[in-house]
Amino acid sequence: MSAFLFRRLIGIVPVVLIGATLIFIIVHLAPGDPTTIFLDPNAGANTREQIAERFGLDRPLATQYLKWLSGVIVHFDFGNSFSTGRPATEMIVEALGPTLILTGFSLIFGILIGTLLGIFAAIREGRAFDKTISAVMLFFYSMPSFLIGVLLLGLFAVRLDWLPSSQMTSLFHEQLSFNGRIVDSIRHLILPVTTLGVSFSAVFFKYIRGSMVESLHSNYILAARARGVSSGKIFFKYSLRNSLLPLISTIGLSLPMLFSGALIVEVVFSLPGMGRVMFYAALARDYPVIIAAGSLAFLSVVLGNLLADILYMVADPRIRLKGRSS
Amino acid sequence: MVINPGRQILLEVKNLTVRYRQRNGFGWREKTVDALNDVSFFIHRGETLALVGETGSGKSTIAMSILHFVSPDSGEILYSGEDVWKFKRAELRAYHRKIQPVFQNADESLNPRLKVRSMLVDALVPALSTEEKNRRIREYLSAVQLDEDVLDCFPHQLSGGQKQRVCIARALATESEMLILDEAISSQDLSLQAHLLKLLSELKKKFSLTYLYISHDLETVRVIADRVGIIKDGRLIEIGEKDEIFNSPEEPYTQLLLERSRF
Amino acid sequence: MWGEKTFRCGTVLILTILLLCVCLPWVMPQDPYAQNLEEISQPPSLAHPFGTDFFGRDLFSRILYGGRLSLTIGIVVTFFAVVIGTIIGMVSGYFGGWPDAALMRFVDVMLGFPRLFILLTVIGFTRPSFGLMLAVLSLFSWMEVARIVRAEVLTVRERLYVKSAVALGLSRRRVLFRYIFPNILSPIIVSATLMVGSVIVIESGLSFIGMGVQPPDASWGTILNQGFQDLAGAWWITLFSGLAIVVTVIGFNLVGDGLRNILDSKTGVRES
Repeated sequence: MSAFLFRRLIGIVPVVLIGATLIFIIVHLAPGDPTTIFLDPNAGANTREQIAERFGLDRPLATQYLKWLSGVIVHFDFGNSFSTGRPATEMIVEALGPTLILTGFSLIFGILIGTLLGIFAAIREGRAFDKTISAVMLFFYSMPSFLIGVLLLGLFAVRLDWLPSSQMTSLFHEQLSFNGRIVDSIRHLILPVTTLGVSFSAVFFKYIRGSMVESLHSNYILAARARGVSSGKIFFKYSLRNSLLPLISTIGLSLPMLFSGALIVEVVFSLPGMGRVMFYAALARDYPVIIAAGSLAFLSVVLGNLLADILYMVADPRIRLKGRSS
Repeated sequence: MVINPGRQILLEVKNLTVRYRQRNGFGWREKTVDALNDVSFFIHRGETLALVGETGSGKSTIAMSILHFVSPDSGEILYSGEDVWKFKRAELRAYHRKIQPVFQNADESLNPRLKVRSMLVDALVPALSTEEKNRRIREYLSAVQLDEDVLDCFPHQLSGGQKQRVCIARALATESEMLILDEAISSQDLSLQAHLLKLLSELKKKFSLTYLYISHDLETVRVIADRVGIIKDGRLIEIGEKDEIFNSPEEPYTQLLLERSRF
Repeated sequence: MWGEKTFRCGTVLILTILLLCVCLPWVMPQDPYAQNLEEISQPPSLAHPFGTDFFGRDLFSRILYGGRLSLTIGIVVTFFAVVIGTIIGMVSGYFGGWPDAALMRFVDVMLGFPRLFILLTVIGFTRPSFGLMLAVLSLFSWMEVARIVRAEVLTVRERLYVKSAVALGLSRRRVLFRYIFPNILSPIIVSATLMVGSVIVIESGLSFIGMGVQPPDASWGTILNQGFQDLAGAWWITLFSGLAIVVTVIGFNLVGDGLRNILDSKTGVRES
């Protein structure tokens, strides 16, 4: 096992390096010049050159790449942001907090709701309960997550004014008591977490219900029923166990969803997370920040895939043969 | 074992060994399983050699190896004296047309998306004119005793026996020299089996074919074979003329098989 | 096929929407760009069933016109992505060996890019344009199809009818296109159907944050963005453009799921 894991982990390194390099190339070759953002329209060519020199953009692309690559490998330094002047990694780490809080809670929400409803729907397959829940979940499954956010925001923040519409905390957060601060944070999180959570739960619901229903119809379950195994035991011991392990690998695969799914939701709720950092870095052509954020997102996807692969193999221990005999 | 020196050897299998690598679920700790262990035999031109063994004995692996689908870990397969596994692509394609498989599962052997006519056309030499192609298709169809209406059918519209006949017609249409009949009639019912056995004997004479007949069923082997080989656990444990094997088997396993087939 | 309820519902939904978007702009010509300053931000009424927007334009007409754009993007992007994915998946699955290893590594790398992030980078850097969005979306959507096609080819390749075809001495191209491709077509169609919905979702997201279709052109995402600007006042803009997206995507998901059910039950019959 360890040898296999080691091989897979080593295999990640070239993939991530290639990915980061591609991101570097795409970003640098994409049309648009970062210097124009920082340039007074009346400034002369001289100023432009000065700015380009400060950002290191005057050198050939290969030199820039090598400098960037050695910085990344030796110091884990992705360079300083063009717009704030702070190290790109520092900005990313800062933005990672809100994103992880948002996506973490949403994922828990989504898994709990999606899995539970999925199990109950599968047990009552074809009955009114199953049909209703399935229809509702199909509705959310087909809905862009940001749209759920917009609707929740419109209803609970704008119409009813029950909950705050943006940011992680209120302006006067620091002046609140400890308990007040916790309540304040929770109030700010409710809408975005519900938004993403409902979106995730629809995905997990579809998955769990599908695989439970499939296994409940399979021959070994029919055989177990014929042997007189109790229904409860069939659901939880045979069917659920077979559906849950692959679910874990599905979660691994949904890791990229945490990044891109959260992106627009963060924009909708003005949360200072990765999505907003990426969004504004792209608008400002802030090369170092974009490349750092992109590489991190890339790494998370590759790790998620690896996790999914490993879990999938654990969950599916069938013996594989080179060919079949007779 | 009697080797008749006057006859030409068409196919020779020398020390064929095939191993399957078996993994447990986590993908580590490999172990190998011998599917075939040092199997050697030959087939004369115009002869029917039957290989008999139980399911999982490795007899189909021999067929797959001869057909160039499963690569041997060691050993050689010689066709007219040439090593099959050293062929270049063009030579391989020519070789494939000379040895044609007929598998047990006719359903699986026919492309569900093609009509019978297209399948047979694919088997013919592409350079032929359309009339010549049509003529030959009719010839092969009548050889396997099928009506021409099947030409415009998809496989799922045919009966099991018809499908197997289409497979045989297709195997003939490449102007093949040898058919590898891998349990080719085993899944049919008994009356149909008798019918197909008779058909196979006729075809063999008509197209001067050589048969490698692979089966678990000694009764059909008794009807069709000239020589018989017994496969057990990936080894060829006994091979000889049909009468020798059926009347005075040496190996206890062969005796056991024979006893069981008397029922 | 028509007996499958999921499939039937989805088909009816999609056909209705297609019909409305394709035909209605001619039948009911309320110019989606025409401003009527007398009727700014009017709630739904008989004259304007979906209300009007801040510029006094009829929302119903705008959503139908926007639907043309959204559906075009969904279908065109899916088409290109499926073509690319099928070719790469077939080559990878059929030829195996180093081309397979290289292509699958490439798929890993491409899957590693969060699609939205790349779109942001490329589109954010340039002037967003319709063609650019089609190109970028297509180039970053084919990987799933490639994986499915590869897996299918690996299965079908082992089927006896393919082995029989190889044994006929047919060329590899002929085996691939005549014996393998027709037999993997069904899963490709299913994933293509499901993909149209997901592309429409992605496009709406991009247009929503202002990186997709640019005003005065409108896709459903653009209209949603407009509604978001005035969420407190003109709630109907958000509601109806959102509904348009959801109903369409539900339609495609239903058709995809229905098709899969039909195919599954068919193969089930065949195997038993």
